[in-house]
Amino acid sequence: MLSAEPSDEVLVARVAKRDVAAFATLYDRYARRIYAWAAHVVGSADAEDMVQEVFVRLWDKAAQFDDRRGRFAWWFIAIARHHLTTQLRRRSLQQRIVAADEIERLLADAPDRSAGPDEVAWSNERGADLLRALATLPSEQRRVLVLAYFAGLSQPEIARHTGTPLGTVKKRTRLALQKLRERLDRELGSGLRGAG
Amino acid sequence: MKEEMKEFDAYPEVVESLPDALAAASPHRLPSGLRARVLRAAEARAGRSARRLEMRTVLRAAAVALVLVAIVGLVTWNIQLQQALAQEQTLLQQFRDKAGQQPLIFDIVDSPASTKINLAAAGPQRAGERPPYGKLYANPTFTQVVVMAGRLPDPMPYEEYRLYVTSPSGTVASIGALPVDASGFGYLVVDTGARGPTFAAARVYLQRRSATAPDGVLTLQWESR
Repeated sequence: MLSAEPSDEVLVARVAKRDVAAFATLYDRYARRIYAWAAHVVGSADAEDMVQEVFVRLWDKAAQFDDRRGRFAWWFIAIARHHLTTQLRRRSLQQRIVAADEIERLLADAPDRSAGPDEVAWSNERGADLLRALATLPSEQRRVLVLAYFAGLSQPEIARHTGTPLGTVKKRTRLALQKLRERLDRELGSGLRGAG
Repeated sequence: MKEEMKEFDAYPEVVESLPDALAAASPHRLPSGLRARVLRAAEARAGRSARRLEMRTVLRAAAVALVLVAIVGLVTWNIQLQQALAQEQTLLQQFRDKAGQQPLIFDIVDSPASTKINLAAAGPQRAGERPPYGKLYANPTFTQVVVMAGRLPDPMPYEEYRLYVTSPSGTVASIGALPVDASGFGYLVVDTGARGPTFAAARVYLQRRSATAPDGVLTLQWESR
């Protein structure tokens, strides 16, 4: 069945014209994933501020989005990640590693908790598929991915922390990403990759 | 971090879904009041943007007005400058016509070392003409001063234009009468007896020939600041 819902790309164009309703819809679609990420890395006390700051950035930068350069989701998540990792770097390496450890444990063996009826925003199957794929990754690959992506560690920092050669860290990161993409392709079809 | 970013950029469909995966696994749930708070922040920002836009429009209009005022000012100043130059050229030309045989006068008038005092109109003017004007030249190597004036109203037969100068110490003295022709032009060369004379003020009065003090009609004047 065709959806009548406007795409993210249509909504962000409206946000660029200061449409608060479009902004609210994008909030509904993305807030939960930004909040969960922020809550794990900076704690739930600061996570609300982080979410607000990320969405204010969306409000301010909406006019800069160019759909010829990629999907909205990729662009917005990049903004969120940049903001979160910038904030994270103010914390000690040890704090970031602790946060990454907790995330890694969750991704390795947590059940999908997204099925609550109030979580309308979280209807995207891709996250659930990716969660399943992450659980099947070798732990050392999942670990480097989590340390780099969610906790914002650089590859040399990961190499030092894990006592692994830098080349190995790079290889594990690439392998993890490749496997996840293959898994997504299998689950959802190759159409997903077209937008990247 | 740039290297990691490049790596991540090569897998956009994975990267954009990683937060989805974490949200699926996470026990953290969105606080219910957060949505309203974020929307309020956006609306406040929208209001600020509108006010900023309004302010920018006002500032832009003010800047345009300022530029216009500056242009009008410049044009006016330029016209006045041109008039002053034309006036001076006319005066000098009249002066050359009259005093062509006295090279000493031109040594004073044309010397870049000379001090030139502009005498501004202070009283009556010729009918249908612009106000009278005058110049006083003094030079550090000469004891003489040269005074010239133009567009002075015709004096009555019993009147004359007389120049009074005030010394830096405050002494007022007449240094001579300024004979004028039919066009109202006249000049005067006076030997002050001292090289490079300086003055605190200079005034031209239209007064009775018999007068011995500065009274009558003040016609031209200058005062040092």
